Amino acid sequence: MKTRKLLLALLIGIILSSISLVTAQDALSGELTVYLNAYYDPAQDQETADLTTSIAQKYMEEHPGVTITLVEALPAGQDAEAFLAARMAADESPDIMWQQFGTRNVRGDTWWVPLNEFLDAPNPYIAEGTPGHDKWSDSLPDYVLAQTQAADGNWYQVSLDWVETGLFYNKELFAQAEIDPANWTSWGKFISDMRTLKEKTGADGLGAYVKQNDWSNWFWADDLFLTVAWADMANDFYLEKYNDANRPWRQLNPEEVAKAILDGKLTAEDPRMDTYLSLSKDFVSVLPADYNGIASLDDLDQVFFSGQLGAYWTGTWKNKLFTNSVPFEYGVTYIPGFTTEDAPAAQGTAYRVGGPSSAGQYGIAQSAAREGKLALAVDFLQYLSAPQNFGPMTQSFGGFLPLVAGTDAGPVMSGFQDVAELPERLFNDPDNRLDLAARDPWISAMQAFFLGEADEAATKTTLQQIWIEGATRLCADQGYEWCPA
Amino acid sequence: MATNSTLTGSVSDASRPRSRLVPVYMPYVFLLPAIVLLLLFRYYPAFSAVFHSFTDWDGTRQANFVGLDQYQALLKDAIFIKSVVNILIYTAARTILTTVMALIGAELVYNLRSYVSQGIWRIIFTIPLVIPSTVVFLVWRQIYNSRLGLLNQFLSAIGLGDQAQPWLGQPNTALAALIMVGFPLVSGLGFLVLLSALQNMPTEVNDAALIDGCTRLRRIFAIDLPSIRGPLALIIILGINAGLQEFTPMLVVTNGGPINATQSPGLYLYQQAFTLGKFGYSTAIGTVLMLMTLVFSVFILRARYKRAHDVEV
Repeated sequence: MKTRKLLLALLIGIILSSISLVTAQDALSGELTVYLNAYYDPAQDQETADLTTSIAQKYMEEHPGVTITLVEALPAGQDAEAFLAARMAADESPDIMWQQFGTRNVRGDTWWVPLNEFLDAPNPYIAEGTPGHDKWSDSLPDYVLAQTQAADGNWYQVSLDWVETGLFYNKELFAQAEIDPANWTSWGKFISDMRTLKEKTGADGLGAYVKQNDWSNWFWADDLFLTVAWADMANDFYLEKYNDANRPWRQLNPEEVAKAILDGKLTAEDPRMDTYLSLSKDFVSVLPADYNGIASLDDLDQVFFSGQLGAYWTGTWKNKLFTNSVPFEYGVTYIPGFTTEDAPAAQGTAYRVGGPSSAGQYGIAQSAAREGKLALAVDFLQYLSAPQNFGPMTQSFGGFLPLVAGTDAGPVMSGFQDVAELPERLFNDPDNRLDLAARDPWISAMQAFFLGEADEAATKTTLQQIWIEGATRLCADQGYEWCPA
Repeated sequence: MATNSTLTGSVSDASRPRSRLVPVYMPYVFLLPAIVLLLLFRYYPAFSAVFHSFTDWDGTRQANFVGLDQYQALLKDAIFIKSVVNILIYTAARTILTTVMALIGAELVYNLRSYVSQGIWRIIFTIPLVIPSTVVFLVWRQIYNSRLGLLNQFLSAIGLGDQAQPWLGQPNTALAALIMVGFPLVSGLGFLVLLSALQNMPTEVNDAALIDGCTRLRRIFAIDLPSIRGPLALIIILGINAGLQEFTPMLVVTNGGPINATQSPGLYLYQQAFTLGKFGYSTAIGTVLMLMTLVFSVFILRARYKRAHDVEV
């Protein structure tokens, strides 16, 4: 009888382990579509695309029965949000997909799978002894995790790299105008030199533009000016629950911005906003005449390449293009620090305009989970984010700083390490400050101010209205415990 | 007798052999695929859009019925109202310009004596039809560039450098710049339709008018225009339909800016749906746009048939 029971238990054990084995095999078999943005863009960077393909190929060899299909990056200028929204509506999104973290967090779990439990779990592809092996999130910097956490407390993506920005300048034009970036001791000196450059050479000072209803590199300036104007209030805006003793200065998240607005601490009626508006107007005065009509950052490439632009504020993702295409000697510098002469609240420093808003931010679509591909998608994402895989990808692309522990920037990005040492912006871009819906009204209000269609007082009234509406909307969406009833 | 009526081509004889060979339902069978596709890809989306305009659908989640809320919000939406004003100006200007330019082009070619020359000009005016419109818009975006654009460089070259403008960067010039995209606006389709209408006119009428001492210009207004009223109405209706729904030039060239100076309902609809996920709101915009197009089309058609002598009313 005892033997029979033992045999029965053995049989059940064998059946159960077979089932679990089959289930485990099922979890790591199937087809996965993966959109990796610039890391798979054969039209622009064949070398990196080949490398990424080989990494996916190796994964498939290690996991027979898995098919990884890499989706080519959309051409520049194509609306990635529209691409994604249409596919999400049809339940046809790539299983692993790139999206800007701010927008992704707005979509939340409607589109994306929360990755919290997976980030807390080990990443088997990271070598033992390396951060991330025991807990995947340990391979990523805390400040990035804090910045990319959604308002509902979830992480809908892993952010594997960081984009920096820099001022690429035409050395010939600068020499002609007798300008040396080493002499930029303040923002005021910088603006004055940009004006001198235009007077002496006829070229426009700075390459930047403002685009309605879309991202433009003016966002970076807007972030800076708000940061400079409100720098002395940072500690009043920070919420205790997000504070980190290791980072006394950090970027505000949407909840902190919303609370500061609704508490009346951050208000557009404050005199600090006069500083913000004044810095903004100085900035646009050194841009090309049609800065309000330029359609994309790429359109400024031609102006810079043709020698009609003194300096061009752009992202490090242009490194390869510039190395190969700029027909004159160029240098790379950065926006100088802001002094109290520039703005009463200034801290005498410049701010790092960069962020995890780069090509290596990936989430898993809810449709993948519904189709039973979640385990496979998580596994491939862990594989991809391991330093031995993601490190070479970033080095090959040469436009972003890898964030994964155990990777290094490589020779191309090493020039941006100084910028990376600067403090972060206090405020993020207009689409990430509160929510996406607050972005377009902000751009329109500032365009109206720049074009003289609205004076300072009217602009401040409009900005305050945008802030109040945005904060109220965010409260209604997220239901923070401090929100007014 | 039956054979005889078939031979004489009588259509009233129901007993003709062809009727026995082709079953009466056969035409409907052949029409079926087209009707199914039409219902599936035209009528269903249209009705679905109208239905969703009464909901708060976000493109993914279950939609909730919200009654007329979306329409009430539309009436209070200053950007939507601005976009309607913009598109009315754009449509009126583009329709008038493209129709007049197509008519001028058609008249010029029609009055050429050489058939070879007519053929060459017909080809020249028709070639733009095969160029993708997005390419045209991208080219014009460059033409308007304040630094490198052809327009400002041309103005400087002819001594009008002080007239050079940031054409797309100012609210007072951006819409006009969009209207002029594709200059000289000799639309391929409009030109072809009007030219073929002119060529189908009885030559005796024009010959008689010329013999009576009628000038070419007077002939155009007194004879040509009334005779091609039908095709002209068609071109105008197509122009209005296309104009009211216009979206691509705004998206490619200006993205609706600056300060919504070139915003159109079509682009606004797109932005609301695909950027902000407000599909319910965007379908309400689409429904209003559809009604506007319908009203204008009916209005033009009624005007076209009023006192018409080329059709039985």
